[in-house]
Amino acid sequence: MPEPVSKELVAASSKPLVLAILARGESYGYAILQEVRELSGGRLDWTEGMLYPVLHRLEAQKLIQARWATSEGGRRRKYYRLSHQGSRALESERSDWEAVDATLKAVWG
Amino acid sequence: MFDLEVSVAAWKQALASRDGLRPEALDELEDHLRVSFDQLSAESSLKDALTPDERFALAARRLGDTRALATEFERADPSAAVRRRWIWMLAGFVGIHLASQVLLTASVIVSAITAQTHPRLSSVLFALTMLGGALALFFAARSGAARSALDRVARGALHGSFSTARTVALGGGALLAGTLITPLGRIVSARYLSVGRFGDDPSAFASPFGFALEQAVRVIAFAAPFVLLTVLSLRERAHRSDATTR
Repeated sequence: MPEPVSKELVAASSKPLVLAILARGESYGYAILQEVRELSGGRLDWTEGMLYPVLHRLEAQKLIQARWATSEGGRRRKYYRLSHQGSRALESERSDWEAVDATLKAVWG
Repeated sequence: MFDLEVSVAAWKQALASRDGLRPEALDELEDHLRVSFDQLSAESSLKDALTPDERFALAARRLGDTRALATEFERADPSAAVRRRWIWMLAGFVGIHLASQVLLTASVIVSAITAQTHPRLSSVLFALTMLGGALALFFAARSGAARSALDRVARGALHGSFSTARTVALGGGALLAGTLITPLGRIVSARYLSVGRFGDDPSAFASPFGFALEQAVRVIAFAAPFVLLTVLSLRERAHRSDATTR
Protein backbone atom coordinates (compact mmCIF):
# COMPACT_ATOMS: atom_id res chain seq x y z
CA MET A 1 0.00 0.00 0.00
CA PRO A 2 1.54 3.37 -0.96
CA GLU A 3 2.24 5.93 1.76
CA PRO A 4 -0.78 8.28 2.05
CA VAL A 5 -0.33 12.03 1.52
CA SER A 6 -0.52 14.12 4.72
CA LYS A 7 -3.93 15.27 5.98
CA GLU A 8 -3.06 18.96 5.57
CA LEU A 9 -2.10 18.56 1.95
CA VAL A 10 -5.17 16.45 1.25
CA ALA A 11 -7.36 19.21 2.71
CA ALA A 12 -5.54 21.95 0.79
CA SER A 13 -5.77 20.13 -2.52
CA SER A 14 -9.42 19.15 -2.20
CA LYS A 15 -10.74 22.32 -3.86
CA PRO A 16 -8.66 22.20 -7.08
CA LEU A 17 -9.14 18.43 -7.29
CA VAL A 18 -12.92 18.59 -7.05
CA LEU A 19 -13.08 21.49 -9.50
CA ALA A 20 -10.78 19.69 -11.95
CA ILE A 21 -12.79 16.46 -11.80
CA LEU A 22 -16.06 18.33 -12.32
CA ALA A 23 -14.46 20.18 -15.27
CA ARG A 24 -14.52 16.79 -17.01
CA GLY A 25 -18.28 16.58 -16.62
CA GLU A 26 -21.18 16.31 -14.18
CA SER A 27 -20.63 13.85 -11.34
CA TYR A 28 -21.73 12.86 -7.81
CA GLY A 29 -20.00 12.25 -4.49
CA TYR A 30 -19.21 8.57 -4.68
CA ALA A 31 -17.97 8.76 -8.29
CA ILE A 32 -15.76 11.77 -7.50
CA LEU A 33 -14.13 9.83 -4.66
CA GLN A 34 -13.56 6.82 -6.91
CA GLU A 35 -11.87 9.05 -9.44
CA VAL A 36 -9.60 10.66 -6.83
CA ARG A 37 -8.64 7.23 -5.54
CA GLU A 38 -7.83 5.89 -8.99
CA LEU A 39 -5.99 8.96 -10.26
CA SER A 40 -3.83 9.18 -7.14
CA GLY A 41 -3.11 5.47 -7.03
CA GLY A 42 -4.60 5.37 -3.54
CA ARG A 43 -2.18 7.97 -2.14
CA LEU A 44 -4.88 10.61 -1.62
CA ASP A 45 -6.90 8.94 1.07
CA TRP A 46 -10.08 10.87 1.89
CA THR A 47 -12.43 9.99 4.68
CA GLU A 48 -15.34 9.59 2.29
CA GLY A 49 -17.86 11.74 4.15
CA MET A 50 -15.46 14.70 4.25
CA LEU A 51 -15.96 15.27 0.53
CA TYR A 52 -19.51 16.50 1.06
CA PRO A 53 -18.77 19.56 3.21
CA VAL A 54 -16.21 20.51 0.54
CA LEU A 55 -18.85 20.16 -2.17
CA HIS A 56 -21.37 22.18 -0.16
CA ARG A 57 -18.84 24.93 0.47
CA LEU A 58 -17.99 25.15 -3.25
CA GLU A 59 -21.71 25.20 -4.01
CA ALA A 60 -22.22 28.08 -1.55
CA GLN A 61 -19.37 29.93 -3.26
CA LYS A 62 -21.22 29.34 -6.57
CA LEU A 63 -18.16 27.61 -8.06
CA ILE A 64 -20.24 24.50 -8.69
CA GLN A 65 -23.94 23.94 -9.29
CA ALA A 66 -26.00 21.07 -7.94
CA ARG A 67 -29.21 19.35 -8.95
CA TRP A 68 -31.16 16.38 -7.62
CA ALA A 69 -31.96 13.67 -10.13
CA THR A 70 -32.86 10.00 -10.13
CA SER A 71 -29.96 7.56 -10.56
CA GLU A 72 -30.01 4.43 -12.75
CA GLY A 73 -30.87 2.48 -9.60
CA GLY A 74 -33.94 4.67 -9.06
CA ARG A 75 -32.51 6.51 -6.05
CA ARG A 76 -32.48 10.27 -5.55
CA ARG A 77 -28.95 11.52 -6.10
CA LYS A 78 -27.30 14.93 -6.01
CA TYR A 79 -25.22 15.73 -9.11
CA TYR A 80 -22.67 18.53 -9.33
CA ARG A 81 -21.20 20.43 -12.25
CA LEU A 82 -18.76 23.28 -12.69
CA SER A 83 -20.11 26.83 -13.08
CA HIS A 84 -18.53 29.60 -15.17
CA GLN A 85 -17.14 31.09 -11.98
CA GLY A 86 -15.84 27.63 -11.13
CA SER A 87 -13.84 27.31 -14.34
CA ARG A 88 -12.23 30.68 -13.67
CA ALA A 89 -11.41 29.59 -10.10
CA LEU A 90 -9.94 26.38 -11.47
CA GLU A 91 -7.66 28.36 -13.81
CA SER A 92 -6.30 30.41 -10.93
CA GLU A 93 -5.91 27.32 -8.71
CA ARG A 94 -4.03 25.65 -11.51
CA SER A 95 -1.53 28.48 -11.94
CA ASP A 96 -1.02 28.56 -8.12
CA TRP A 97 -0.30 24.86 -7.90
CA GLU A 98 1.95 24.94 -10.94
CA ALA A 99 3.93 27.75 -9.31
CA VAL A 100 4.38 25.63 -6.15
CA ASP A 101 5.27 22.60 -8.24
CA ALA A 102 7.78 24.53 -10.37
CA THR A 103 9.46 26.04 -7.31
CA LEU A 104 9.83 22.69 -5.59
CA LYS A 105 11.19 21.13 -8.76
CA ALA A 106 13.72 23.96 -9.12
CA VAL A 107 14.91 23.42 -5.53
CA TRP A 108 15.10 19.66 -5.83
CA GLY A 109 16.74 19.84 -9.24
CA MET B 1 -31.20 -11.42 10.02
CA PHE B 2 -29.61 -8.36 8.45
CA ASP B 3 -32.07 -5.78 7.18
CA LEU B 4 -30.48 -3.02 5.12
CA GLU B 5 -33.40 -0.62 5.60
CA VAL B 6 -33.28 -0.99 9.40
CA SER B 7 -29.51 -0.48 9.46
CA VAL B 8 -29.68 2.58 7.19
CA ALA B 9 -32.49 4.07 9.29
CA ALA B 10 -30.52 3.56 12.53
CA TRP B 11 -27.39 5.09 11.01
CA LYS B 12 -29.36 8.06 9.69
CA GLN B 13 -31.01 8.56 13.08
CA ALA B 14 -27.61 8.70 14.81
CA LEU B 15 -26.39 11.32 12.36
CA ALA B 16 -29.62 13.34 12.41
CA SER B 17 -29.39 13.82 16.18
CA ARG B 18 -26.22 15.87 15.70
CA ASP B 19 -25.99 19.54 14.91
CA GLY B 20 -25.16 20.98 11.56
CA LEU B 21 -26.65 18.49 9.11
CA ARG B 22 -29.57 19.50 6.97
CA PRO B 23 -32.01 16.78 5.82
CA GLU B 24 -30.77 17.22 2.27
CA ALA B 25 -27.19 16.47 3.35
CA LEU B 26 -28.44 13.39 5.19
CA ASP B 27 -30.14 12.13 2.02
CA GLU B 28 -26.95 12.69 0.07
CA LEU B 29 -24.87 10.76 2.60
CA GLU B 30 -27.48 7.99 2.65
CA ASP B 31 -27.15 7.60 -1.12
CA HIS B 32 -23.38 7.37 -0.69
CA LEU B 33 -23.68 4.73 2.04
CA ARG B 34 -25.99 2.63 -0.12
CA VAL B 35 -23.72 2.83 -3.18
CA SER B 36 -20.73 1.94 -1.01
CA PHE B 37 -22.58 -1.05 0.50
CA ASP B 38 -23.67 -2.23 -2.97
CA GLN B 39 -20.09 -1.98 -4.22
CA LEU B 40 -18.75 -3.98 -1.27
CA SER B 41 -21.45 -6.58 -1.83
CA ALA B 42 -20.60 -6.80 -5.54
CA GLU B 43 -16.98 -7.72 -4.87
CA SER B 44 -17.03 -11.50 -4.72
CA SER B 45 -13.99 -11.81 -2.42
CA LEU B 46 -15.62 -9.53 0.17
CA LYS B 47 -19.04 -11.05 -0.29
CA ASP B 48 -17.71 -14.44 0.75
CA ALA B 49 -15.48 -13.19 3.58
CA LEU B 50 -17.86 -10.74 5.24
CA THR B 51 -21.44 -10.98 6.45
CA PRO B 52 -23.87 -8.28 5.23
CA ASP B 53 -23.67 -6.80 8.75
CA GLU B 54 -19.91 -6.48 8.48
CA ARG B 55 -20.08 -5.04 4.97
CA PHE B 56 -22.53 -2.41 6.19
CA ALA B 57 -20.27 -1.55 9.15
CA LEU B 58 -17.34 -1.19 6.76
CA ALA B 59 -19.29 1.09 4.42
CA ALA B 60 -20.38 3.26 7.37
CA ARG B 61 -16.83 3.36 8.72
CA ARG B 62 -15.42 4.47 5.40
CA LEU B 63 -17.95 7.26 5.27
CA GLY B 64 -16.62 8.48 8.60
CA ASP B 65 -17.36 8.84 12.31
CA THR B 66 -20.72 10.62 12.78
CA ARG B 67 -19.32 13.19 15.22
CA ALA B 68 -16.39 14.15 12.97
CA LEU B 69 -18.71 14.31 9.98
CA ALA B 70 -21.18 16.58 11.75
CA THR B 71 -18.35 18.88 12.87
CA GLU B 72 -17.06 19.15 9.31
CA PHE B 73 -20.52 19.89 7.92
CA GLU B 74 -21.07 22.54 10.52
CA ARG B 75 -17.80 24.18 9.58
CA ALA B 76 -19.00 24.36 5.97
CA ASP B 77 -22.34 25.93 7.01
CA PRO B 78 -21.98 27.41 10.50
CA SER B 79 -25.41 29.01 10.68
CA ALA B 80 -27.19 25.69 10.04
CA ALA B 81 -26.61 24.51 13.61
CA VAL B 82 -27.87 27.77 15.10
CA ARG B 83 -30.96 27.65 12.88
CA ARG B 84 -31.64 24.07 13.91
CA ARG B 85 -31.35 24.86 17.62
CA TRP B 86 -33.69 27.80 17.23
CA ILE B 87 -36.31 25.79 15.37
CA TRP B 88 -36.40 22.98 17.92
CA MET B 89 -36.38 25.32 20.89
CA LEU B 90 -39.25 27.27 19.35
CA ALA B 91 -41.04 23.97 18.73
CA GLY B 92 -40.80 23.12 22.43
CA PHE B 93 -41.93 26.60 23.40
CA VAL B 94 -44.94 26.61 21.10
CA GLY B 95 -45.72 22.94 21.85
CA ILE B 96 -46.03 23.42 25.60
CA HIS B 97 -47.91 26.67 25.03
CA LEU B 98 -50.43 24.92 22.78
CA ALA B 99 -50.80 22.09 25.30
CA SER B 100 -51.65 24.59 28.03
CA GLN B 101 -54.09 26.36 25.71
CA VAL B 102 -55.84 23.08 24.92
CA LEU B 103 -56.23 22.40 28.64
CA LEU B 104 -57.50 25.93 29.17
CA THR B 105 -60.05 25.51 26.38
CA ALA B 106 -61.11 22.23 27.96
CA SER B 107 -61.85 24.04 31.20
CA VAL B 108 -63.89 26.64 29.29
CA ILE B 109 -65.90 23.89 27.60
CA VAL B 110 -66.51 22.16 30.93
CA SER B 111 -67.71 25.50 32.34
CA ALA B 112 -70.04 25.96 29.37
CA ILE B 113 -71.50 22.48 29.68
CA THR B 114 -72.07 22.65 33.41
CA ALA B 115 -73.25 26.26 33.07
CA GLN B 116 -71.12 27.46 35.93
CA THR B 117 -67.54 28.68 36.22
CA HIS B 118 -64.88 26.49 37.74
CA PRO B 119 -62.06 28.84 38.64
CA ARG B 120 -60.38 26.01 40.47
CA LEU B 121 -60.44 23.73 37.43
CA SER B 122 -58.47 26.14 35.25
CA SER B 123 -55.96 26.68 38.07
CA VAL B 124 -55.53 22.93 38.44
CA LEU B 125 -55.10 22.49 34.68
CA PHE B 126 -52.58 25.32 34.57
CA ALA B 127 -50.65 23.77 37.45
CA LEU B 128 -50.73 20.42 35.62
CA THR B 129 -49.11 21.95 32.50
CA MET B 130 -46.45 23.60 34.60
CA LEU B 131 -45.82 20.35 36.46
CA GLY B 132 -45.59 18.42 33.17
CA GLY B 133 -43.09 20.90 31.78
CA ALA B 134 -41.07 20.85 34.98
CA LEU B 135 -41.01 17.04 35.00
CA ALA B 136 -39.87 16.94 31.35
CA LEU B 137 -37.07 19.38 32.17
CA PHE B 138 -36.15 17.43 35.29
CA PHE B 139 -35.81 14.15 33.39
CA ALA B 140 -33.99 15.85 30.50
CA ALA B 141 -31.48 17.31 32.94
CA ARG B 142 -31.06 14.17 35.05
CA SER B 143 -29.52 11.91 32.41
CA GLY B 144 -25.74 11.52 32.31
CA ALA B 145 -25.70 12.73 28.71
CA ALA B 146 -27.37 15.98 29.77
CA ARG B 147 -24.84 16.50 32.54
CA SER B 148 -21.90 16.12 30.18
CA ALA B 149 -23.75 18.38 27.72
CA LEU B 150 -24.12 21.04 30.43
CA ASP B 151 -20.44 20.62 31.14
CA ARG B 152 -19.58 21.23 27.50
CA VAL B 153 -21.88 24.26 27.32
CA ALA B 154 -20.15 25.67 30.40
CA ARG B 155 -16.85 25.33 28.58
CA GLY B 156 -18.30 27.15 25.58
CA ALA B 157 -18.39 24.06 23.37
CA LEU B 158 -22.00 23.83 22.29
CA HIS B 159 -21.44 21.41 19.50
CA GLY B 160 -23.15 18.09 20.14
CA SER B 161 -24.81 19.41 23.29
CA PHE B 162 -28.15 20.05 21.61
CA SER B 163 -29.86 16.81 20.75
CA THR B 164 -33.33 17.35 19.29
CA ALA B 165 -35.16 16.12 22.40
CA ARG B 166 -33.04 18.24 24.72
CA THR B 167 -33.52 21.37 22.61
CA VAL B 168 -37.29 20.86 22.57
CA ALA B 169 -37.21 20.43 26.37
CA LEU B 170 -35.21 23.66 26.62
CA GLY B 171 -37.89 25.46 24.61
CA GLY B 172 -40.52 24.15 27.02
CA GLY B 173 -38.31 25.24 29.88
CA ALA B 174 -38.09 28.73 28.38
CA LEU B 175 -41.89 28.98 28.37
CA LEU B 176 -42.01 27.69 31.93
CA ALA B 177 -39.38 30.12 33.15
CA GLY B 178 -41.10 32.99 31.36
CA THR B 179 -44.48 32.09 32.85
CA LEU B 180 -43.02 31.85 36.34
CA ILE B 181 -41.04 35.09 36.07
CA THR B 182 -43.94 37.11 34.61
CA PRO B 183 -45.60 37.61 38.05
CA LEU B 184 -42.38 39.34 39.07
CA GLY B 185 -43.27 42.01 36.53
CA ARG B 186 -46.63 42.36 38.27
CA ILE B 187 -44.96 42.82 41.62
CA VAL B 188 -42.47 45.34 40.24
CA SER B 189 -45.14 47.34 38.47
CA ALA B 190 -47.82 46.94 41.17
CA ARG B 191 -47.04 50.30 42.73
CA TYR B 192 -48.18 51.92 39.49
CA LEU B 193 -51.58 50.21 39.65
CA SER B 194 -54.50 52.58 40.17
CA VAL B 195 -56.88 49.84 41.23
CA GLY B 196 -56.37 47.04 43.67
CA ARG B 197 -56.18 44.30 41.08
CA PHE B 198 -53.70 42.95 38.58
CA GLY B 199 -54.61 42.69 34.96
CA ASP B 200 -53.57 42.87 31.35
CA ASP B 201 -55.80 45.90 30.96
CA PRO B 202 -53.63 49.01 30.51
CA SER B 203 -56.35 51.16 32.13
CA ALA B 204 -55.76 49.31 35.41
CA PHE B 205 -52.46 51.14 35.67
CA ALA B 206 -52.27 54.70 36.91
CA SER B 207 -49.42 55.41 34.53
CA PRO B 208 -48.60 53.81 31.17
CA PHE B 209 -45.11 53.32 32.58
CA GLY B 210 -46.36 50.62 34.94
CA PHE B 211 -48.03 48.72 32.11
CA ALA B 212 -44.94 49.05 29.92
CA LEU B 213 -42.74 47.86 32.78
CA GLU B 214 -44.81 44.76 33.30
CA GLN B 215 -44.84 43.94 29.59
CA ALA B 216 -41.08 44.55 29.38
CA VAL B 217 -40.39 42.08 32.20
CA ARG B 218 -42.60 39.56 30.42
CA VAL B 219 -40.88 39.98 27.05
CA ILE B 220 -37.42 39.77 28.63
CA ALA B 221 -38.38 36.66 30.60
CA PHE B 222 -39.61 34.84 27.51
CA ALA B 223 -36.88 36.05 25.15
CA ALA B 224 -33.90 35.57 27.48
CA PRO B 225 -33.33 31.86 26.81
CA PHE B 226 -33.44 32.46 23.03
CA VAL B 227 -31.06 35.41 23.28
CA LEU B 228 -28.75 33.31 25.44
CA LEU B 229 -28.81 30.48 22.90
CA THR B 230 -27.94 32.88 20.09
CA VAL B 231 -25.13 34.58 22.00
CA LEU B 232 -23.59 31.26 23.04
CA SER B 233 -23.87 29.90 19.49
CA LEU B 234 -22.28 33.01 17.97
CA ARG B 235 -19.48 32.92 20.53
CA GLU B 236 -18.87 29.29 19.69
CA ARG B 237 -18.75 30.16 15.99
CA ALA B 238 -16.21 32.93 16.55
CA HIS B 239 -14.15 30.57 18.68
CA ARG B 240 -14.28 27.85 16.04
CA SER B 241 -13.29 30.09 13.12
CA ASP B 242 -10.30 31.24 15.20
CA ALA B 243 -9.31 27.63 15.64
CA THR B 244 -9.56 26.94 11.89
CA THR B 245 -7.52 29.89 10.77
CA ARG B 246 -4.78 29.24 13.28
